[in-house]
Amino acid sequence: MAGRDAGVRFRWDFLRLSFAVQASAIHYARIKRLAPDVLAPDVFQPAWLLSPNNWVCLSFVAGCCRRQEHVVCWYCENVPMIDTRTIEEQPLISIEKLTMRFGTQTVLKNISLQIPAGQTLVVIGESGCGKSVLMKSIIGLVSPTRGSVRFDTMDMAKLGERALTKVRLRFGYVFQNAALFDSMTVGNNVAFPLRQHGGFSDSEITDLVLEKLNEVGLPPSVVVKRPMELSGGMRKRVAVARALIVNPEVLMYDEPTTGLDPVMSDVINEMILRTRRRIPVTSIVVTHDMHTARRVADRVVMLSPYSRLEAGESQIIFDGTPAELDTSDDRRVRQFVNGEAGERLMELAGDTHRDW
Amino acid sequence: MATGGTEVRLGLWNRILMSLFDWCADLGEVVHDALVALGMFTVFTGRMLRWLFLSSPRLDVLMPTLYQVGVRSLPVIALTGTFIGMVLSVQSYAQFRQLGLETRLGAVINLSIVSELGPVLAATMLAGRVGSAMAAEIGTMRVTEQIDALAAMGANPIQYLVVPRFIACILMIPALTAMADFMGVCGGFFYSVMILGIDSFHYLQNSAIFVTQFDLLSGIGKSFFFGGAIALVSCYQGFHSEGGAEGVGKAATSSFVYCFVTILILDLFMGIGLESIRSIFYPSGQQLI
Repeated sequence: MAGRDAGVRFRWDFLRLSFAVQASAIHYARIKRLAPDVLAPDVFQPAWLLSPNNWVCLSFVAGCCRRQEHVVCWYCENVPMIDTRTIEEQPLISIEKLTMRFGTQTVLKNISLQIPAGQTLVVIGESGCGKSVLMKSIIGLVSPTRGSVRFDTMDMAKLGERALTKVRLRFGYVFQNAALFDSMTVGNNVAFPLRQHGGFSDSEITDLVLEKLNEVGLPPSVVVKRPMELSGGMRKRVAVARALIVNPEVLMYDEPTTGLDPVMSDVINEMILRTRRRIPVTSIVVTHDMHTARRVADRVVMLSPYSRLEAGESQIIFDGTPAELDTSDDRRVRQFVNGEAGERLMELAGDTHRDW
Repeated sequence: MATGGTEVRLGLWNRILMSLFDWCADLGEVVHDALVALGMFTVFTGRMLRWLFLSSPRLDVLMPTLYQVGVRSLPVIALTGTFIGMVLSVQSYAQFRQLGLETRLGAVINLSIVSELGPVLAATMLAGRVGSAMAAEIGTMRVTEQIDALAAMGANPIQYLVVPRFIACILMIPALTAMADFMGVCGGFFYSVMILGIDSFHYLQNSAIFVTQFDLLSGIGKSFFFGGAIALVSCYQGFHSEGGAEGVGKAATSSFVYCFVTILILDLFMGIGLESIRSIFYPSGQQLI
């Protein structure tokens, strides 16, 4: 009987230990900001096993597992416990009362937005409402006039030049017109972030560039071409490959389908979806294209131009799921979603009358 | 009375006063803009110097810039230098012949070339060739969001774009100035001796007596500062260009204008400073006649 108990206990302990190893790997992945499945083969590498930090991490998580059985553990008593559920719910990007002013022109006023990790947020709104400025303020390319943008608890405006440069390596940004470097070949464009990162050999860089180009559906022959030799859709795909090559935590797409034919637009949409399925990435997509918004979004936010707001009205006029867009009570949201000019046509007629 | 709203008719003194206020406001605006631009340029220079000492540029970025600034400018600089020498010879000969001092032409031509005309004209030529190209290239990168893309990918645009250009200019422009000096000396010698028939022995003898190492080094020394100024002014203009193709064109043009003005101002102040230093090394000075 005692032998049977010992056997059960052994199996139970073994199960618990293996669970602890897995939990520890996930915890380690969070520290290293890697996807757990990317890390999994790493866990059993000698380097990982030899690192004291990982053993501390392992015993910490093991202690946390024991806590569930109400066994007192030093780590649980002395080290603040990390609740994985809380981590996932905490916003990765937190925008608080953001105001952006250029000269006398106010583009954004009192924008507050929380973006949790893993979410695909689509920002829609008419031209000039400040969608791109919002994106650029998240990555720190423009400094807020007032308010703050926090990424992973860091206030982007308060980071020094070097720290900001380092943080930006955790982002991938696909610009509206691709913004590929004219002076470089496609291969060098895609390899640029890796060279900037450092620590990769030339052969590793070549392999990764070809792999990423393949992922976005481009043949290896484009590597030696110049950006000017490519079509608009190909340039956009190269830009996506360049953004993906460093496995970013946040991917930002500024009008990814603008200027592309419907087929190519769908290819880009599919690429956004596939990327999200493959790596646990938080995505922010700025677009006018409702097809893209419905296809890729978990959440849609609509901005209205500041100059068109009523006094005291929030600039975010819609915040919900793509399905809720159709049932919105706001006339401006319905007009945008259905592509109707409404009273804006009257304004145009008035303007035309005055001009002529 | 105008149609619609009410028009307030101002008296003559009020109108004069208003014009005066407008004039004052315009002047204030110009001074304000100039001060803001100066402040921004100072901050830009400070950031560039900080990155210059913080990290060394990547060789794959620096080498093509050195090639662009140095090697590609060589033919135009050689041509400029040669013609400076020959033109100086043409201009000075008539006047020196009237005084019977043709053989002193070597001293005048070579002294002018190595201490003043070589560095200044080479820098002016490079401000046009290299500076405008830098301003246009960086300006295009700005308006096509390539600079934002650099920053978004964790590269500092100042470190990546400005530092290599600054290093290339301060290394290559003195070398090109030396080349312009050499070609100017050759051009002057060729025209004076081969075409005007001045005795080559006396031409070279006078050159050797009157042109000192200090003259040569002060000219090359000036070109370090000219090179730095060309790089900073051009990159600043490119970095702050806006408004599409028109903005890029404006950046390229203003880059040349500001570079030229900066070169002349620097030349004046360095000339004054170098004269003071010369008086320490050569207290008695050299007598041409």
